[in-house]
Amino acid sequence: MLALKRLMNSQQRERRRRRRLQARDGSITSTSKRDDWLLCREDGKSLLCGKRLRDSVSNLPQDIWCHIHSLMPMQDSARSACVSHAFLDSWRHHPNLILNKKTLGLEQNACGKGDMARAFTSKVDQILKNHSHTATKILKLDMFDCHDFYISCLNNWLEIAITPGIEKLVLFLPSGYQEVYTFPCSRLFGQNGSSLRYLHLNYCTFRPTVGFGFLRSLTKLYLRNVRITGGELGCLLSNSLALQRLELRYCSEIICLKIPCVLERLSCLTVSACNALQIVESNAPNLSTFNFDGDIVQRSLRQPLQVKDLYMICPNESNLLCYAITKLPYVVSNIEDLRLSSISGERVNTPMPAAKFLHLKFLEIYLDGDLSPGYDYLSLVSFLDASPALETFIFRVDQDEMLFDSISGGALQMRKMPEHKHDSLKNVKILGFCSAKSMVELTCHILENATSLECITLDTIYDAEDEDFVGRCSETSAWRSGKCSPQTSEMMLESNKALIAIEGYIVRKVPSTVKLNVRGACSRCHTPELILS
Amino acid sequence: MATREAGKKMIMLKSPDGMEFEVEEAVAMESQTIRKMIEDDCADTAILIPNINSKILSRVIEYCNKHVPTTGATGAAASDTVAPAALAEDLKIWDAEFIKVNRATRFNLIQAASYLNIKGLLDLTSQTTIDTISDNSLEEIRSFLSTKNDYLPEEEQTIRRENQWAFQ
Repeated sequence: MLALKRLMNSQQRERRRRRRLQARDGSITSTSKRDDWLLCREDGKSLLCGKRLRDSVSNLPQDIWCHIHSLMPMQDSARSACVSHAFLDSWRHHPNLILNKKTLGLEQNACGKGDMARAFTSKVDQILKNHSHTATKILKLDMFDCHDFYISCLNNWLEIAITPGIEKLVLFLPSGYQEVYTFPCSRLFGQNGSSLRYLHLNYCTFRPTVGFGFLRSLTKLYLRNVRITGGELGCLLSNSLALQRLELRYCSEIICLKIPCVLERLSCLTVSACNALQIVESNAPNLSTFNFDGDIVQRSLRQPLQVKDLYMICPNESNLLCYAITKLPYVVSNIEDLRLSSISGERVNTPMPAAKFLHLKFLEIYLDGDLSPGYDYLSLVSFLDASPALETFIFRVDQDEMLFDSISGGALQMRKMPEHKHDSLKNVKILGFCSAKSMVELTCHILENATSLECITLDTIYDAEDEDFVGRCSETSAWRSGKCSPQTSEMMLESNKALIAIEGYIVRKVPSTVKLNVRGACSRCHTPELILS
Repeated sequence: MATREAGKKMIMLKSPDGMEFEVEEAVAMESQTIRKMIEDDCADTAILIPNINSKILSRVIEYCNKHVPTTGATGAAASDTVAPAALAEDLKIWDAEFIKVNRATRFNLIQAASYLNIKGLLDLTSQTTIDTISDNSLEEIRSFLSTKNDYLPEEEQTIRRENQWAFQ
């Protein structure tokens, strides 16, 4: 309503002004009719007003020059300040300050750490002081390499930059500064914080308390190496109702993370390496993606989560798969996309499922084979049994040596589980396929029981760099030439054994409706000499 | 003045030199300034666009016609069957042709885009000027933009010293 009133007022003002003009110039009588409305900006400033500044730089008003500068990289704007006073003025109104070693031209200087900090400080100081009358929209201050700067300087800079209108604030301090520097929360009180959309803090202490103002525009919050307790974070979250994305990494004071139900727009939560964390609870109704990297995963996820997409990695505890199959169906019953990284390996085989993942369509499992000696790959059938709607299954096995009984060692009896049916499964990839008997059994089981299977890929090489699973550089143009990861001679030998196992046990079981892709070593990166050695 | 043709609401835009342009409401609403007037019910009649002459206004309308979302667009816009990526590529080529104008026209278009608040057109028209500033020496910038160095020698020295980091 206010905006409408302002517009109407400005139109009335404009009409009055035009009537005055018409009175002076009787020729424009026809335009006095009501049907002719004169456009005017909300602030009542039309381009006629702009004329005053037109001669400043080649016929463009100064506010447009300021806009053009705001679209320019900061350095180009600063450099062009030497063109004329008008350009200097535009640079001093540049709203986006990206201040780091690179943008300040300090990367090439081979000076000591102390000199770097001094040079950085003096430049930032000068730039911010010259911007003290400008409404900064973006401040990115990367001081990662600047040890020994004055904390009072930093506080002054934040005082200059954090004003009403700030939209994005990124502050990277040197490692360890979370012990000595506390971010001045009071800067975000009131109007200053209300426009902030993006906040990223690294290596500082952050203590929002009760009474902390509403960050009503904040949609993205990233805290890394930040000292903040669960309670303080709770104060911040309950005042950030527009939040869509929250990322917490290495925040070691958080013991209990509770996401309140008022965060209705929160869709993505990432919690990583917060070592003190014991409880994660989310009541956010629309949280759909949860990335969890933590060691106490088995204790911390107790409450059901309504997420659809879960990534879980457990760096220092083994048996993630065992935990996932027995507990996760109860915690994330609506899950559609599940990725599990068992980087500490499995010491026990995967047990039969306790309950089902009724909606799971995509499953990706990573297993460190070296830390899982004797693991029975066939026990992964539990995941297929638990997931009646599963369409895609990707299994990645990373190992540097072969710790499993190879099927080529002797004609052992193959185990079969004929009563299992996986009707929805269409696409299977096994990356790091080896000749282990249980791996061959798993593959045969899938071929015999996945009635809708369309495509199965067996890659006898595990390439950790190949994140899109495209295969060898010699076989595909999607992968940069010569970039296949080097392999140990043992695994190159194993790759050959795996190819023989595929030929001997698997090829004949592939139905005519299923496409089988087999991948071996790279003819460019994995030389024959290495295979033979 | 607003009329209906084949179910589409039309809006009359007038330039100060007396030319009238009847455009679809959806096309006119590419301008946030006009959109606001329409949404506030202030535009059931003709809208006079001050300071934008008919030559520039017709180019602005040409741009809006091309960039209005496909449904309800006239002629120039592609149909629903074209893939979004192809459509974006087509627009990019069209934009590149559109902006091949002399500096005076470009500056007039920048002002019109700013005044009518058409973000896409403002970004497009500003970019050539940004490239000029980014890619050239100070003297070249002055010459391209026909602007004078209005610094006193000592002033220029101070500013240069202050912004020396940006030359590295």
